[in-house]
Order: sequence, then C-alpha cells, then structure tokens
Amino acid sequence: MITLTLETKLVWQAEASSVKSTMLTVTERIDCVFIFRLWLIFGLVFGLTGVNRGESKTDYTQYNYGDVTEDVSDIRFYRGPETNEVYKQKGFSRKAKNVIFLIGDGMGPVQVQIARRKAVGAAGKLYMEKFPVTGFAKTQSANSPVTDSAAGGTALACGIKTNNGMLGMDPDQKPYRNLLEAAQEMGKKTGLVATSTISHATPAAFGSHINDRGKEQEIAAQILEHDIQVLLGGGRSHWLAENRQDKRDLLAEAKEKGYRIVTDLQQMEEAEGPYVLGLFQDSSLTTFSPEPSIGQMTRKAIQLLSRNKKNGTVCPFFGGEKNRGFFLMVEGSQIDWACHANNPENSVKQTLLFDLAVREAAVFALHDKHTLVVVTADHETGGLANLGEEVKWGGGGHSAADVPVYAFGPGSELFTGVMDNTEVARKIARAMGIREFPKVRE
Amino acid sequence: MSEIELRVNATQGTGVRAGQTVRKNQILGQKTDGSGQLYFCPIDGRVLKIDFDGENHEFIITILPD
Repeated sequence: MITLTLETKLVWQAEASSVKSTMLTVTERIDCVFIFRLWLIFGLVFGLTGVNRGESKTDYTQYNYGDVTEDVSDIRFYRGPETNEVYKQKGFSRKAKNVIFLIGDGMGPVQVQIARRKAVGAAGKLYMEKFPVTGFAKTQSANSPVTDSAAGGTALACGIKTNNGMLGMDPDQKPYRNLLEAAQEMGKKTGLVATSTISHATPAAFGSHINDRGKEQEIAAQILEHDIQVLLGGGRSHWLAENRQDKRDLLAEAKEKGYRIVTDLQQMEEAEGPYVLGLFQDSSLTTFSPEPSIGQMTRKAIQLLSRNKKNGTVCPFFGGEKNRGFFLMVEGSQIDWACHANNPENSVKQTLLFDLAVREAAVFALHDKHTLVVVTADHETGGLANLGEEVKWGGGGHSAADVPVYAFGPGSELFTGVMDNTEVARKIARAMGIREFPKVRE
Repeated sequence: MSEIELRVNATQGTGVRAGQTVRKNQILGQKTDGSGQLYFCPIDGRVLKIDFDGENHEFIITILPD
C-alpha cells in the first residue's frame, strides 16, 4: 500500500502540471520510473487498485479546464460528478498530515442548492456534496447575530469569537494564533488562495492580526511577514510602493525573500516553488478567463505545497527533505459579492467555480489518503430562499443563517452535527494534532 | 442639484431600494468605519441606484436630491 500511495501521488503531481510546464526534474523522473516499476510488481502480485468499489474512476482524474466567460449565466466550464456516490475513505490515515480548508464566502445551503439544480439537476450532486461527513455551523460574531467575513474568518482561523471588522484577535484586541501559524509551528508548508484581494477579510484572518479589515496595506505587509509559501489571488495595488502610505515595495521585498512573482496563468503554471506569489489583478480577480480560475489556483497550490523540492526530488529515499505536510486555505470570495448584488446567476457561477476547487482538493485527498478536506462558509449572504420555481432574496446584507460543513479525510468524523463556527477551527486543529488551540499568540 | 453617492457597510445591507424616496435622517444602513453605528441619510431625495463595491464590502447608494 505504501508503494501504491507514492505512485499515485506522483501520478497526480505529474498530471497537475500544465502542458507547457516541465514539472518533473530528471531526478524525479528516475524516481517515478523506479517507483512505478515497484508498483507494477506489487500491483500484479497483490491486485492492488487505487479506486474503491462504487466510485467512478473520473473522481481520480485531472479536470480539463476550459475558458470561463464573462457571461454570468454561462456555466459551460463546469462538469459535475458522474456519480452521486460519496467519496470513500478506505485506507486513509487517522491523523491529518495535510489540511485543505475551503471557505465559500456567503455560501449558505440555498446557494449550494441552486447551483446544484442549475448544473447537475435536482437529483445530482456537486463535488462538495460527495463528501461523506456533513454538518452545520452557527455563524454569529461576538457583537452581532450577523457576522461579517472578518469575524467569521477569525472564528474559522483562530477558533475564537470576535467583533465584526476585527481579524485574528479577540474583542479586547488580544491576538490569537491561527491554524496556518499552528501548522507552520509543526513544520508544515502553508498557502492561501482567494478570488478577492489576498489581503481581503477571509485570507487576512489566516495571515494577519489587526483591528480593522479595511487596513489592507498593513494586512498585505503582515501576510508577507508570515512566510507563507504559496499566495495566489488579487490585490497587487496594496503591494506597490506607489500606492502604499509607507512607500514600502512589498513586491521587491517578496522577491528578496525568495518568492517567484507571477501575474498570469502561464507564469503560474510554470512556476517552481517553494515560494510563489501570484497577484493576477490590481484589485480583486475578475473570475473569468484568461485569469487562472480558483480551481487552477488550488491545483497549483496543492502541487507546490505537496512537493518536496530539496535536491530536486519528491522522495525522501532519494535525498528529498522530510515532508511534514501542508495547510492550505482556499476562499471562493465572490459568492458573497454575487449575493450582495442579489444576482442568482452569478451566485450559481461563483459556487460552481468554487466547487471545482473543492474537486481539486478531493482528487488530491483520494490519492494522498493523509489529507483532511473541510468545506464551509463564513456566513450566508442575501437571505436567499429557494421557493422551487423561483428564488427570493431577504435583503442585500449577510444573514444569521447556519452554513453547511462538508468534510472528507482523516478526522472528518468530527464534523458531523451542528457546531459553532469556532468549533470548525478547533476540530481541524484536533485532526492535525495541534496542541493548545485556541491559543493567545506569543 | 446633482446626484450624490453615499456609502454604507454591506454586512447588514441597506434599508432602501432603487427608486425609493428617502428622507433626511432616514436610516440607510451602517457606517463604513466598522463601528456598527447607523448611517442616516443627510438629505431628502430619491434613490437612483445601489451598487455593490466588493473590494470595500460596501453599498454605494446614489441619491438625486429633491
């Protein structure tokens, strides 16, 4: 089984590279051939297979991305699951070495329902709905029954309640360690992916501690100081000296730190790690081509974070560094924006784009067997009601509705039932083996 | 008089809709400073349109004064 795991991981990583990208080095190719031969021998002898019974083989394959058009009603980019079978967890480890945490901003249960209905029909499922464990999370913040993304993100990142507008600290402005920081303390690699600015509230909850989500220049500087291996999203303007009050050139500083700066899809696909900073727009992403989609960004982030680069090999037996795993947070930022605008078509589109990021995480987890994938939302937006033939909006703001939680992989059994949003972070910490969480930041 | 643009925090939404008449001191939503305090309309007029600014997470309310 060990041989199978290594082989499938390598195959996945090889598939994840673009046509133009030469992902595998010569050394890695030698490793691949060697391990593939071993796998063949073991496979023939023991009849091993990577696909569990009842699952579709396409669950394990690479998604072929097409163009995403500007038309919000055009969802041709999305191809749903072939079967409604839940993902199986056979042969998974008990402890989560890797965590992929996906947050659909503003994605309540009805946002998922209307996306499902439009994309795969009422009887179908989205990829996130194939997860074997489901629950609900309550979302109120410390000072309001209706949270914003800063307080919601803080609950999901740090496991504590705070006031709306505040990031990574309690209402008394005491900073708390977040999941990403705790993962770094364990020697794990980390990454943030978002379709908003990378300094927007939700990613900022994992990369900063500040009392006002509006201070994006300060947040960008804090994110840079966090030594996060992979940062993919928008918001380049907050990193440029000409736009910053302190006149710091954060992009130059990032280069000095060893980041490869990328600004388009091709550059992103060709980028080698370990440090990659992708800022694809001055402000938020457009979420249509030629920008990288959230699914493509997620695939690349997983590829970079799951790979040991030392000595150009992925295998510790051939001189690679010990792989301690990774923590990756991915935000589908603009579901919220579509719902603030009471635009159901764009809500569907943004949810489906997000679901392809979920698919990337699931495909990796199926191969890897050491990865916990958790999908949830920070809050619901718009008070969306599904009346069957039509939908109705309750307003233009956030609502106090509970949000769905989907989990898959080691520790996923913790996420069943109704839980507070702070418990989502605490359960992830438990699954990863993080001690003392939540914890005041030293 | 020319139209004016007013901004409110998007989290709690806005209590007005496009086409609606608004009166001075009517609640439009919450202030954008994160204080959670209410923001009152400074003038009488009619709401021409409401746009959402995702970047700043704010509603932009365009009002034509009476």
